[in-house]
Amino acid sequence: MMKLPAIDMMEVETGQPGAYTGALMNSTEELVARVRGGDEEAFRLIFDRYARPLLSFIYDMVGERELAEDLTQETFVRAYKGLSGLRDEARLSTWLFSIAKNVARESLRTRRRHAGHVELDDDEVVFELHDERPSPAGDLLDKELSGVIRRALSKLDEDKRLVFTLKVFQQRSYEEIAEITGFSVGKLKTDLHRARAEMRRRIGPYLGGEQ
Amino acid sequence: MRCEDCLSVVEEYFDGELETKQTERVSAHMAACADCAAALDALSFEQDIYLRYEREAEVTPALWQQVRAGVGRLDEAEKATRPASPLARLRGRLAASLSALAPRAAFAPTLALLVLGVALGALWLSRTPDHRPAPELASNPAPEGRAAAPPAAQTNTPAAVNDNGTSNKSNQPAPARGAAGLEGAAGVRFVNAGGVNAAVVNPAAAARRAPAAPAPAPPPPADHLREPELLAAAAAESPAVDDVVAAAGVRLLDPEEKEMARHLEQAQALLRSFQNEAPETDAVALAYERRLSRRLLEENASLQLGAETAGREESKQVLDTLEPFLLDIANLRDNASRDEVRSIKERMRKREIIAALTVY
Repeated sequence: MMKLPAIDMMEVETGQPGAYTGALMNSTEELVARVRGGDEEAFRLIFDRYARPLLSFIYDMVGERELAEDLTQETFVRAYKGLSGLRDEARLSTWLFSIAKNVARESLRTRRRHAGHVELDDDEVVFELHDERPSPAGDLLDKELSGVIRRALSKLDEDKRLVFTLKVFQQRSYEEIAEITGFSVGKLKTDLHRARAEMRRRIGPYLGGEQ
Repeated sequence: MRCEDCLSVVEEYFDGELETKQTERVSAHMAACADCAAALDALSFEQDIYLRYEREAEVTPALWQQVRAGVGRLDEAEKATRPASPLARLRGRLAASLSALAPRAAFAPTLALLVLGVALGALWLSRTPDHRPAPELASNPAPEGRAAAPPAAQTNTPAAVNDNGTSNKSNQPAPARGAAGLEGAAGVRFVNAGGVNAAVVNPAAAARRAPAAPAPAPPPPADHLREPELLAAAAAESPAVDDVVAAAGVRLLDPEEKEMARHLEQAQALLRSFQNEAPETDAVALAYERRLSRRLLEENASLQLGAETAGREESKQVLDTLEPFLLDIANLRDNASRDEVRSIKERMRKREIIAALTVY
């Protein structure tokens, strides 16, 4: 079997720590090292890799597209600023989510203070739209289903939404969620269980006889 | 395993968070219990539904451009606030100033020393055929184009001064003294002694350069001035040196807190100025605030890092609170609408940011 040359072999050290002439090395540790060495392309690669999940995560937390984009930008700028303080490069992803969590929560706090946070507290709002004849999930257009999920998500309290989003949408382990949120595993298990139950209750009518 | 035990961990089982042994027990139970298996299927079904969730948000090229711009501003801030930068700037200015003087007054003592060294060397050679060790001065003639290294005790004497107008390190006082210095055209020298930044004024150097340079009169002859005097003297010498000396003075008093206090003071002034702008303020009138805000934003970023590293939570919190307002002002468009300005003011009022800065 022919052995393909390792991409890593193509890079040539320039003699400066963390600086490489090749732009093909994509392991997290190497990318971080290159960014620390001032390589913008490496930061672009980090952005390409994590922008989508971070934007999704932030969007799930704040529920507004433009705000989510602004906060994603803020997350990356903060990450760039604090990259020198990242001790374990292999945990870049967790670290980025942790920054995103802070950015999103700060924004939510600010918004709450400004708007007095008039949150819809009527579960029926969701149901009123569709409860004449709850359709099976498969019959719903994805867009409509997404609207239902988004509204249901927005009704979770912040901690539950945080944990639920990280577990269900971002598929993070409990350990990673604990690291990102700073919650104990016990708390996050409880929050996750309750969040799942609440979500089930809210989107249940759309799941037809499955629930 | 009983059903209630199984159902109590079914989510963890589904999430793959159970230990191996427990996983095996739950699996065995699921294989034999339809109710518990149905609970697991329900979780799986829900997960499938959630994975169909489509968000309105999409990563666009514009987002990267925004990130890039933000990072660019940070880089500029870092360069501007890097401790070495003022010294580097000072060094550049001094080199430029001294090079103008070099062919005239500044080079004369060096040349004189060189000639004296050569003459003494020749005299010594003619009188000592057995080449015994010579007196200290004659045994160390200055290399061509370089000033003689001065004895340690004469740091502030004219002979110890590097006057040739270059930043040649060989002209610096001997490192054995435990202090490496950079002496400027104005006679102000920055000394790093034992890790503590200090500044002393070399009146002799200042006095000697006074006739050649169009600078104000040199400070009174004193080897070591107290800090206020030093700052005043330095301020009188040159505006270019002023910033660096002032910065050195601030570091002397209290490195981090002083910087923080100065930063918050400026931020407070900025926010007050912004807050007090008339509602009909146009973009031109806000240009200064935007510029200042950008500078403070960069400073803020640097201080945030410092506070985080040092574990100064309170400082970091204040800086974190301040940051969004600086960002908002800095990112105001040229033709920002009154509503945008009003919105920032409103948030400032609600967050009571100015009060928060004052209290800190």
